[in-house]
Formats: sequence, C-alpha cells, structure tokens
Amino acid sequence: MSATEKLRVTNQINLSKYALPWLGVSGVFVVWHMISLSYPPFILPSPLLVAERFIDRLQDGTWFFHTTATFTEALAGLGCGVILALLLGYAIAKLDWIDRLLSPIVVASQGIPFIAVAPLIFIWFGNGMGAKILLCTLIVFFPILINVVVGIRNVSPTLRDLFRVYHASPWQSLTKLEIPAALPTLIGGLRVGGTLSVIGAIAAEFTSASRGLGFMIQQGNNLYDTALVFVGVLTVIALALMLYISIGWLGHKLIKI
Amino acid sequence: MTSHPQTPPILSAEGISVTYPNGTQALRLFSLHAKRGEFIAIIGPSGCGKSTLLRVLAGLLSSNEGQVVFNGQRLRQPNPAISLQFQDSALLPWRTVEENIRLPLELGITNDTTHPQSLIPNSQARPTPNPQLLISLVGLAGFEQAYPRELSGGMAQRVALARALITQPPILLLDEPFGALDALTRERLTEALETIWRALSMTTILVTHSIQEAIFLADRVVVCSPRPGHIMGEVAIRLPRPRHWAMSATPEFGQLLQEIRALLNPLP
Repeated sequence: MSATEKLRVTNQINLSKYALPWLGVSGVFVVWHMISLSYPPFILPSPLLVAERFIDRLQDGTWFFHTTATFTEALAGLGCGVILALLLGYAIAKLDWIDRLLSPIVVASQGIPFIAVAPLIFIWFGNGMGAKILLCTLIVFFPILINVVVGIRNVSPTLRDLFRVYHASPWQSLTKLEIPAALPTLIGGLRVGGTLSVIGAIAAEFTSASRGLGFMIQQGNNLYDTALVFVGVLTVIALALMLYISIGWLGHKLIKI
Repeated sequence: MTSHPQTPPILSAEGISVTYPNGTQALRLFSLHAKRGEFIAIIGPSGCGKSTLLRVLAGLLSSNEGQVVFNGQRLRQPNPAISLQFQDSALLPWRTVEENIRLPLELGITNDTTHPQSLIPNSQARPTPNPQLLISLVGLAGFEQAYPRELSGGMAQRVALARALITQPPILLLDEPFGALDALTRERLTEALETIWRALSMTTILVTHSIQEAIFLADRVVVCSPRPGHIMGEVAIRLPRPRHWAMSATPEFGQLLQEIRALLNPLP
C-alpha cells in the first residue's frame, strides 16, 4: 500500500468515524424542519422555534433552575440505587441463603409499575425531594443489582483457588480479585442505570412537582407550548447521554483489561 | 536431589480416594510419598484424576478417604508453602507481568502468620527471591510492564511459574503447565523448568500426559491408571543432570520410554 493510499484510507476511517454521526443527527434536524413546515407550531414546532424558546428560557434562568433540579434528583437516585445494589448484590452473589431469601422478592418487585404507582409513593412519603429520589432509586436499582450479581459470580474459579492457596482474607479477595474482575460488568449496569435515573426523575416530576424538567414539560403540554416540550425533551436526552458517556469514560479509566 | 531412603517424606498422600457428588470416582486409594527436593512426574491418560490429585495435595479439595501429610502434619486446608501452577496460567488480566508475579507477596503481608498451617517449614532462612531475578530466570526480562493479553501462551505460563516460585515454596505442584503449548515452546520451557528446579531445589510434583516430558524432568515417574486413578507402576529415572533434549535420542531414554508405555498400555 503506498503512502498516499494509506493516507486516503485513514481519512476515510476518520470521516466515517466522526463525520457520519454528525451527518445522521443533522439529517434528523433537516427532516424535522421540512415536516414542521406543513404543521402549526403547537403540533410540531420547527427546530428553529425550539432553539428560540431554549434561548428565552436560558436567559430568564428557568432552564437552568429546572435542569439542576432534575439532575440533582437523578444523581442522588443513581447514587442511592448503586449503593443499595452493590451491598445487596454482593450478599446475594456470595451467600446462598440470602439469595434464596431475597431473590424472589427482588425479582417480583420488578413487576411493580413504579411510574404508575408514583402517586402512591408521594402519598406515603410526602411531596418533597426524598420521594422523588426514592422513585429514581427504585427504577435504577434492579439493572445494577443484576450486573453486580453476574459480575461477582463470574469470577473464574481458578482465580478463586489461587487466592485460597495464598490464604487471602475476604477483604483482599474483594479488593484484589472480585472488584477488578467484576468491574466491566458493573460499568455496563451503571450505564443503563444512569440513563434510567433521568427517566425516573422525570416520571416523579410528572406526578408531583413545582420544579424540574418533568414539570417544565408538563407546563408546556398544558399551555400547548410544544416548543417548550421539545426544549425539555432535548435537555433530558442531553442529561442521559452525558451520564452514559461519563460513566463509560470512568470505566475506561478504571478498567485496564 | 538424590533420594535418601531414610529421610521422611515432606509431602505424602496416604490412601486417597475421591468420589465426586455426581458419583464418579476420580481416585482410588492413591498413595504417593515425595522426598525433600525430589522431582516426581505423574503420568496417565486424560481423566485419570491427576488434576484431582493435585487439588487434594494442594489442600483445595478434601478427600473422602485417606489423608495428605505435609511435613509431619495432616493438611486440612491450602498452605502457602505448597504452590500450585494451574493448567491455564490463571493470571489477573488487569495486572502487569510484574504485578502478577508479586501477588503472593502482597497477599502474604497481612496474612495471619501466627496460624500454624501457614508457617513455611524450612528453618534455613530463605530470603524472598528478588522478583527481578526470578523474571530473568524464567526468561521474561523486558516484559515486566506487559499485560497478560499481550503475552503468548508460553509467556503467560512463564509468568505463572514465576508467581508460583516467588514465595520460595518448599513444594511446587504443576498441573500440565505446558499442555496447551506448541511442541517447540514446550521443549524450551521444559528445559527452563529443569534449570530452575536445579537452582531452587524445591520438591516438585508434575502432572503431565507427555511421556518425554516426564522422563526429561523427573527423578521418578509414577504411572496412573484410567479412572478411578490409582498407581500402576513407577519408573526411576537415573539420567544425569543437567538434562538436555539431545538425551532423548539415547538408548537409555528410549528404553525408559518403552518401559513407561508398557505400564500405560498393559497387554491383555
């Protein structure tokens, strides 16, 4: 392969790696704009109108106010869900009797449509931030738990034998074997959990809130301000993406395999 | 290196029988006595319970009958003095070569050394070998910072061997360490192992299904029957050391080969 040919191939790879995703996204906006031309703005606002509304809301400070509220709830819910899932998942993976005792309850609880019963949660736990974080936690908990259990159980039996030969303490086995071995699976669970936590926060705000992106979207719905709804939805997408990407980046930093 | 009949064995299996929960009997009344510094090779067809035997000798698996005696005491659990090299190299993929080799030292630091079973019974002060020295001994100099995914199968087994040796164990158990390697790499590693064994003089029990490898390395070859495994015969190897592969063309080597083959495939 000649040098110029090589260069061309590299350029092609770079083009397809970086340019194509942007091309796809801009394509969506173009098509969206074309379609919006034949509908009134309260049915389908054009991207330009959405951008205009976004700048309005940015200037009067309400965008930032609602976004911070949602982000805080999502992050707190994710944090609580992760801690809970780590502790319970590790116990389930290591102790048979805990597995038998709790697994049926945990799995059955996943049949509960948390979003549908959200009003009940607010009746039980009040209208504050706590109840919203709780709803996030409940939604985030299960996928992370499953990944913790799978990650810990899949540690190679030979490596476990190796640690037994050298009389490793439970703490040494945890820090030097189980955590590093389970990390890739764990990060996978966290990425799913991160996305779900934003959805959980929005669902909670839909039910009962005076702040947050869910509240803002509902406000838009009530006022037939569809552009505002779109601002909210796009912000939610951005939040979920940001969490997904930063957790992936964290995983990349931590995993040396 | 030579056997002294009067010295007591450092490690012995006494009438070991192992039956797995599914009903297969892996070992039946297996007895083996290893003298200090001896190199024993155990050879037999696949599935004759050789790996089970090593797991019992390492204290990882308890037998249904019989006992393992290490240095005069019954062995009831794994002992860091008995190092085991696994069939697959069992390296931690997130650690470099050097970090993998150091693992036993790291785990030993906070070990409960007051526990009677974890004391290494060999009162002559044996300084912990310098990891660097061991790395060059197994031929891995220059690869200290490599990760296991960057190594070939033969190199991974060298790392596993260095890790098994880092604590200067009096006993080394090898479970078909070169089984998955190509013939050339295998010959080179076998020679390297013989050199290391002569340098460090640990009691070694090797499980293999290569007759050549067994003869090349061992002082004594123990021939095992198909499942349930028990001893069918023993052949003493009196070839001079250091050994080299040119010996495999000698009539003595050929005769040993024949003798072991005959034990493995008895005429009906």
